[in-house]
Amino acid sequence: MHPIEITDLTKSFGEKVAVRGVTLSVPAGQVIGYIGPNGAGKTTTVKILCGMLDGFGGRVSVCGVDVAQQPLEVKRRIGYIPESAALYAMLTPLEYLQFIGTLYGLERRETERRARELLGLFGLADELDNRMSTFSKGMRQKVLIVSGLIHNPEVIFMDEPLSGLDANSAVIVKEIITRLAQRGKTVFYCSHVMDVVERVCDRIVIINDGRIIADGTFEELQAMNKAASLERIFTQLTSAGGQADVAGRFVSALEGGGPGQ
Amino acid sequence: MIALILRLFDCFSWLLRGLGVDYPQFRAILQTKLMLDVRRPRGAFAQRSNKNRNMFALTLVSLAFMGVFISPLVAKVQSPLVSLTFIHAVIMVMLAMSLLGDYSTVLLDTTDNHVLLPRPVSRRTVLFARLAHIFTYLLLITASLGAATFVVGTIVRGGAFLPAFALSLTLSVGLIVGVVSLAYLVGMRLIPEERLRDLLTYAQIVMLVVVVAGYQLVPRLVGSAVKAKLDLAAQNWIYFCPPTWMAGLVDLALGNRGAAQVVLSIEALLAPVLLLLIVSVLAPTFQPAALEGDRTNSAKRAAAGAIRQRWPAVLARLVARNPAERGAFDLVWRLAGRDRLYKLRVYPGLAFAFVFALIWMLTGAERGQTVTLGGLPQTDRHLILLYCASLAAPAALLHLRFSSQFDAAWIYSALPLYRPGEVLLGAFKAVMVRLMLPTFAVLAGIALVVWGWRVLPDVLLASVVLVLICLIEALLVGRHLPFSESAGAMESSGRTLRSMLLMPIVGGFGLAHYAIRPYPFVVLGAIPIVLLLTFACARLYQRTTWSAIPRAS
Repeated sequence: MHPIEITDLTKSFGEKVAVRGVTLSVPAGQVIGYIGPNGAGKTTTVKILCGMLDGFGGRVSVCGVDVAQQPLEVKRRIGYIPESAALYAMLTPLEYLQFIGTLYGLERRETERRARELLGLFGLADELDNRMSTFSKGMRQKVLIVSGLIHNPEVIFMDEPLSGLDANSAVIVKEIITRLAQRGKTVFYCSHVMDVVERVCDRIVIINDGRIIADGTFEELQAMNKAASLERIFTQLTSAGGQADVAGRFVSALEGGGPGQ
Repeated sequence: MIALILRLFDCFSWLLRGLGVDYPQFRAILQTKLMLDVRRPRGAFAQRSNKNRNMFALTLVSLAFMGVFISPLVAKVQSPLVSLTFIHAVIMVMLAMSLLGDYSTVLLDTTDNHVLLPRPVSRRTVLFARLAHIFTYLLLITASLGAATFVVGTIVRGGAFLPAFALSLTLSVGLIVGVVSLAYLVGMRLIPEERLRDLLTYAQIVMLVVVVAGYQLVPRLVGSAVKAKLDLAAQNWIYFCPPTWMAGLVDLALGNRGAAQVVLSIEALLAPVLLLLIVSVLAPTFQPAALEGDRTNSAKRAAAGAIRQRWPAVLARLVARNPAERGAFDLVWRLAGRDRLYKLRVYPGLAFAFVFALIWMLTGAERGQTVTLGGLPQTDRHLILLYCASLAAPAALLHLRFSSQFDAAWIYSALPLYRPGEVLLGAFKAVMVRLMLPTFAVLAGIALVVWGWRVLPDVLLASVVLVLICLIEALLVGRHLPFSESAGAMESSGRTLRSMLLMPIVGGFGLAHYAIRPYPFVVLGAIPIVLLLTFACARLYQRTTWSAIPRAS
């Protein structure tokens, strides 16, 4: 059984259907790029996989554990790096990671060792005892990445993990993702940044309106859609085109001569 | 301090483990919460953190001061059972009001979902960590309220009083926290998610009415018991009256070993434990995330036709002259009706106005002068009715600066806004028109129906005075931009109780009005004067500059 097994997943909020029958199986050691337009159901899928959202249809198992049955067990084995840099900014990174470590049942001293080492590698060695409220977005993102990985999870979910990072740190994180996969970890990577997905992921899944509309390696998608870049493939598959026209109309709408002038 | 609190909880770790709580996780969450409270200046225009701490210390001191007034009872009334019933009743009511007004948002907090939800923490652990968090604050509040009684009681009744009273107060806090959380949990179980938020507000109002009614009832029962030299221990109702349980416990410790005292003590000890067990059984239903379901709601509304209200903008045009003021009016008007936290905190305050109006009208300011409904038109008590409208104001104004989406307030500093005072005044006007006007209109309507047209001058004067009172209160509570700060447990602490300190302002104006009441022409003549004062205050408020807005340097 693969670390991520999704069969016929459906989820709706009230009358709005977010996911309409997704089936997906991800083997260990794979970095899978999960992409789609805004509101396609990406975040919903990830939240369900992480055991944060219940009341869905279909079968979902992560690390061989049924998500609907044992969400806590799933949460224990996975790491989640959310999109928004949401953390307790009034704490220092060390305090925050200590807190997170305790929630995962890690030993206090071991948490501290890992936190110091990991943050140090990210260049935050001098910031360990400063409150994160003074941190830049990129620095917070680094703490967030560490907090999602500190318990050495088997499956890692990432939602725009590179947001706010400078180019050097982004290179490091991309390399970390590759190395994690080499050690047999599964990485579920959500992003809107197409060229990163193109380079980092072994396999790309595109969803639109709650359904999978493409699934394969970058080369396979290229061949199927006769397009060179993932951005091209993406727009071909998920929109009626006409982006240039929309942009033109957008700019001319600004010049309408209203009271805002 | 935090270490001490955690040490205390460590003593009861066996109990929490027994209830199925993951204790290390529980401890970590509680510790983090307390740490954040001390440090938190979380707001778009955040204050320095030590100001929060000082504010909390000030609250505790003012509560201790309030507590001084109830303490002489222990010495004056011969029977400890009677005096302590009264004291416990007062403290329990204050606790319940504080819990409902200030802490329900801590219990139902959704802001840390993004941190806790992805982690392997059970709902039970989160629930108990939050209850412990609230319990800690209520315990501090209770200790302040009871401080004077501790001193007086120990002097008059001897050394056994101190530990017994400490135990009874702790049990009281446990009881109140238990009852309120149980009510919420049952609500969560019975009510479908979408309706839950609205119903919580109503449930709060109902609980408030019960609490206030009890507040009126107990002193009366005790008072008549004292007057009639009744033996309280021989009464049957005391076994159903929680303050008496606690009083019985202390009485027993003081050496009055009657059968009644023993039964009461058992009740006092058993009730919180029982509640804790029931809460623990219901814990798996605890689902703060359900309250977040904004997506559900918006999807539903979208299906039912978009919400597009034009008339707030039209109204804004009527009451506000410049664009910033108009914009703020429009924004606050809409958000005040939609922000869950704001509604949860302010609507009970509106209910306050009605409940107190009814009770005070019937019982009168002077004790013992109870009037039946039919006898009302002969009295001057319509003034009580009219001035009760202003009881809702402190909550409406105090809470306006808080929001769970406080960080959206960065917009104010990005806008070309010369004087933030214009935003403040616009927000103030929105609160007045949206919340105070309907409240006053209903109360004034009742006054006119019951007392007839002859009280019209009073209604007119009271209406302008109400605006003035609210403006004065707005100036006193500080100039904070609307929805620009997040409220943590510490800032919320005792806010409901603190807002009572604003009540003398209302009382002062009410008494002045009462004094000129026999002369209708004086009443009418006072209106322009009050209006003039109101405009002066409004101008002052409007001219607030950026330097007067508290924010981080």
